[in-house]
Amino acid sequence: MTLVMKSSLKITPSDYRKLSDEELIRRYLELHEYSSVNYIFERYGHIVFGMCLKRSRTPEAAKQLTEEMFVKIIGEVASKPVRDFKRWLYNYITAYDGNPAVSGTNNGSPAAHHKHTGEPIISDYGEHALRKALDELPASQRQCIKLFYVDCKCHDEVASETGNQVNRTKELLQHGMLQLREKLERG
Amino acid sequence: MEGKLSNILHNSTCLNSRQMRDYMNKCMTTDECHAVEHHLNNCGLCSEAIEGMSSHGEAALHVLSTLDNDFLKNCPIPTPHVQRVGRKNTHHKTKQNYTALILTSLLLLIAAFLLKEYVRL
Repeated sequence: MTLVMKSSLKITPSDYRKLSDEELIRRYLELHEYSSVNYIFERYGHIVFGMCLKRSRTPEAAKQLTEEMFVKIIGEVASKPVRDFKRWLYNYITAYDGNPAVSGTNNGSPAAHHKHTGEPIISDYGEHALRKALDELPASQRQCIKLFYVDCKCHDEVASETGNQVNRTKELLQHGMLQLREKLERG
Repeated sequence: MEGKLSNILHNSTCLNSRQMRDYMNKCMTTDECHAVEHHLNNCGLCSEAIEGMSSHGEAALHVLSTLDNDFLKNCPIPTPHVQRVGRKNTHHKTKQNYTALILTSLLLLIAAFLLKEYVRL
């Protein structure tokens, strides 16, 4: 009863911004708070736009695609439960071909993801396990990770120190981090 | 090295549009830039969005500044089909519970009355 009362109380815009994605979706689904959708767009609209830029010829076309895609995203969220919105969104956008029936078919389960999305797959691991997993990485990835995380260098600096291009450095870091997570997850 | 390594797997929230714009325009301190890149290393959504922005340059940033949620006012936001425990349902259930309670009490009273009559006979 208390939970029901709490969830039905009016909340301010700053409160909305503190809510998790899943809570915003819950408020939209259960309380029919359409303003929650605006906050989801505020949080992810520019990111969806950035991803749409990769498949559009012009930024204007990407903006149009973003709006079209976002309405479909809300439609999908309204019709079936999504457990991990961020991961689901990543999979939905990468699989999007204009037909929502074949896009984003998974509900965000960890097994369904095929690329890291920022959500922790693993939580806390000891220093020893972390260092062991790091030592098992290919030398190029290990070097980039150490320069970035231990020496606190930016992508540009890591690139110039390793002699790689910036894009290659980003790739090495991202793949290295992904492998590191997988190694730690396997144990 | 030890303290720094433990931060490797810490996740942060996705970039907001201002951070994205500042990062693209290189209007950040070294620390801010490092924090953003730390997030980008772990977030497919943001790193691909930045890649997309980079591929269109200044024009993308200009359109980004015009992006707002106004279109949502003109688009029909679907009514959710997924109905979970909502306020209305709870009220309905509470009403049902009260009715059941009253009926049970009445039945008990009748049973007690009948038992009393039986004992008297």
